[in-house]
Amino acid sequence: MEFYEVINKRRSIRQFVDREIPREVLERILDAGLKAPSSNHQRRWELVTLTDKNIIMELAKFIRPYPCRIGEPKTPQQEMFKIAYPRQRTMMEEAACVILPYFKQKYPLSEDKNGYGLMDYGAAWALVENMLLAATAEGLGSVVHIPVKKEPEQIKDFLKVPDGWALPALVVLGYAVKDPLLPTQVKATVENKVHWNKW
Amino acid sequence: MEFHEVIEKRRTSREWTDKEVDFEAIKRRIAAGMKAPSWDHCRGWQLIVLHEREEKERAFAYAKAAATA
Ligand SMILES: Cc1cc2nc3c(=O)[nH]c(=O)nc-3n(C[C@H](O)[C@H](O)[C@H](O)COP(=O)(O)O)c2cc1C
Repeated sequence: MEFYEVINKRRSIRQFVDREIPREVLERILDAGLKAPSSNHQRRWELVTLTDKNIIMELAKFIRPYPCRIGEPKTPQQEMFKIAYPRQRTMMEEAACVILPYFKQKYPLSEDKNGYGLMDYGAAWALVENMLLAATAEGLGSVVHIPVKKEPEQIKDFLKVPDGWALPALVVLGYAVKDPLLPTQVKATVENKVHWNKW
Repeated sequence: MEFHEVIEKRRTSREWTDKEVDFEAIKRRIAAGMKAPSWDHCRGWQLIVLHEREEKERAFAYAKAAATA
């Protein structure tokens, strides 16, 4: 698929049909992720890739849907909350693949005085975005879930991940249902977000 | 360009010629950035693009001073 078409097509998809993703497709997506820039040139990433439905269902048990009391959404953001919050677990259960891109965390974000911690974290997000785009190019739907509260520890224990590795996001992949729910986008264009030469 | 070709081709560059870049192409690149996911759905971003040499000099004056100190 043409590059800009991929950029324009990518949306967060949270409803999937029950259909497996061929191994070669997943390998192309993972490979695209591993081509992302890496702050220390080392690409110290380990991608735990779940395709076994039983393991995905076990993992989904740790994911808590966010409470959502929105009746009639009044803003695009509320539309997103209404679609996304109740689906945090179901989107995982419906997924054909969940990728957990762990990165070696040298500098903890919590006591990051020099800003170095952001480098590993930022690079991990370049890896995530490459995979979201590659999934789009392959005709797949994708979404991320950020592990919050107890989720990072529980997931780490469940998957027996060694210490020193951090998880920026869970990358959730699958073939989208026909007409998945999509919130209206908030306007973000060159006209309303860019300052040429000075703010 | 085809998507996977872009992925294969991207490398970090640190040296440049002084050839002027196509402004419309820059805008397309920024517009592509604006399509990236955003956790709160709001894309609460503002970008400052330094294009004029004078503005770049001004913005990097501090870094230059620190580097030569
Ligand atoms: C850092 C980050 C965290 C996100 N966390 C979640 C999440 O935990 N669950 C979810 O369903 N979507 C999550 N999203 C997806 C956003 O809700 C989505 O990108 C936004 O609503 C814009 O919609 P779009 O991706 O379709 O363009 C996250 C996106 C980013 C960039």
